[in-house]
Amino acid sequence: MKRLTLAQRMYLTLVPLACMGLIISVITARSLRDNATPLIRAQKLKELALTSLSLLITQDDATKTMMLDPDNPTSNMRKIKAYDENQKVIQNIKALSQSREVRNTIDQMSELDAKVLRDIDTSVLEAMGDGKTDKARQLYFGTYEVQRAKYEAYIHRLVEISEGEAKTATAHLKSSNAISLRNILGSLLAGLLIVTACLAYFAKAITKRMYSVVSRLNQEHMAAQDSTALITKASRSLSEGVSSTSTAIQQIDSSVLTFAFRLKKNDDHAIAARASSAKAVQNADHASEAISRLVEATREAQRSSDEVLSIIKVMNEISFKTNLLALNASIEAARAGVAGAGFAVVADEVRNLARSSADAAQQTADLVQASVQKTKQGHQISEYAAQALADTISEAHLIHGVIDEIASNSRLQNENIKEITDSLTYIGSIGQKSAHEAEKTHQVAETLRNRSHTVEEIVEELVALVGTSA
Amino acid sequence: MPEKLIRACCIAVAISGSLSFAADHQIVQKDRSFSQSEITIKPGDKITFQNSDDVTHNVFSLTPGMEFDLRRQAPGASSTVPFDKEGTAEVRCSIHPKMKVLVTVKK
Repeated sequence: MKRLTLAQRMYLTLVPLACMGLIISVITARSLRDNATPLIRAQKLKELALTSLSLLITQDDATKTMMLDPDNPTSNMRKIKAYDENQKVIQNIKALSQSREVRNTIDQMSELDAKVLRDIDTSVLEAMGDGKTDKARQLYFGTYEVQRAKYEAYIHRLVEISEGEAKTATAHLKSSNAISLRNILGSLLAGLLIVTACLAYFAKAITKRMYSVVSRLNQEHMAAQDSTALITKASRSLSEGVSSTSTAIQQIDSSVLTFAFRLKKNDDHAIAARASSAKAVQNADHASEAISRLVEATREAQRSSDEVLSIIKVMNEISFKTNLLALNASIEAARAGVAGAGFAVVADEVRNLARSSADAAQQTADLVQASVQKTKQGHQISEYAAQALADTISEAHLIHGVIDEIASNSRLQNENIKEITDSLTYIGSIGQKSAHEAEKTHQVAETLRNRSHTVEEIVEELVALVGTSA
Repeated sequence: MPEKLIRACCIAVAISGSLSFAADHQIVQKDRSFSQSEITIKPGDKITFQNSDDVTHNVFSLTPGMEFDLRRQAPGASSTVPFDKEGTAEVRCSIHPKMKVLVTVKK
């Protein structure tokens, strides 16, 4: 079951009490009014009787004025109005009265007015209307005033009756009011006691809760004060940090500008290196072609040497056969004797020439052999050089690609550096804003600290109000 | 000539049918009272107060805007009062306070 709040309990207690008090008040007021009603009625009766007397005097006064000035319409109307008013007053008295004595008196008055007084009054007025003023005066002062005195006596009688009723009503009112007053005082006292008890209970409950609330408020206030101090400190640090950051950003900005300048130079160098490497690659290609032609030439030279060796071999065979022929010739010369002596000399010479040819061929063959050997070595060297050059060209192509990539990267780095510079400019503006915001935060923290002091004073006031313990 | 006379008569009849003439009413005073206690008439109508009593009367009205005073009216005398404004006049006799007639004037 949900627990009722303090305010709900107060309402549930005080509202029925207030309703009960309201009902008692209404009953008491009605009782007081009922107590006063007879007295009010008596006073009203007396007032109406005196009004009737006053209106009777007004009629008489108007009649006397008419006797002096018959043509005065104002007097006529005054008399008529007084007559009408008096009739209303008489009716009101009759309606108001609950006393038989009053009603009898009113009936006697009405009968006197209708049967006697009005006729005499009419006669007086008619005499005046006919211009018989003396007759009118005689009727008025001789007859009318006698009957009028009776009428006035009835009115005095009404006044006396009303005064008697007022006296009785006053006595009744006193006793009734005394009883009512006693009841009122009793009710008030009981109500006061109940309300005081309720208020004491609720005051105690409120004080207890207020104390709890104030204690918590005090704790929260202390925590808030600590937080405020931390915020103040943090805002100061933030302000300093933002300032340092701004300085650092300026330094970074300067460094980045220097770096950008250097990177630009690197970019220029990379572009130049790319052009140089392209030219080197082209030259290497030309060299490779030359080396290829050199290898082909050495291969041709080796083939020519081989052909020379074949020819030398043929020459050696020729020399060998020539020498063999010379030897056969010498043998034949020897066999011929003296006749062959001359032929023997020729044969010796031929054999010497064949020997010389063979020696020369041998020397040529040795030289050609040496040349072939050197040509082989040259061919091997040229092939090695061609292979090395091909590797160099491949490396040069690779280097050219790397340099090209370096140049591209350098251009991208330039763009990145520009973006970094723009970002740093933006960060610098944000830093300035942050510094401004940090300053505002610091001011807010100061304001918060002052407010915290005010809250502290309020809490002290609340503590003084509810006390240190419930 | 007869045609013109007939035409004039027709026009006169038409005009008299479209117009409303002021009426004349009569209130008699007899035995110290008016012949009626109230009467309703139209603006422009007239009331003739006829004293058929054997005593003098003095009929008057002090209602604002509808005031009149016939002064002393001997037996047998009569007086005519026009009522042009709308309203209700209280007519009394200054000699006989019980005499009263209410005259209501409205369209």
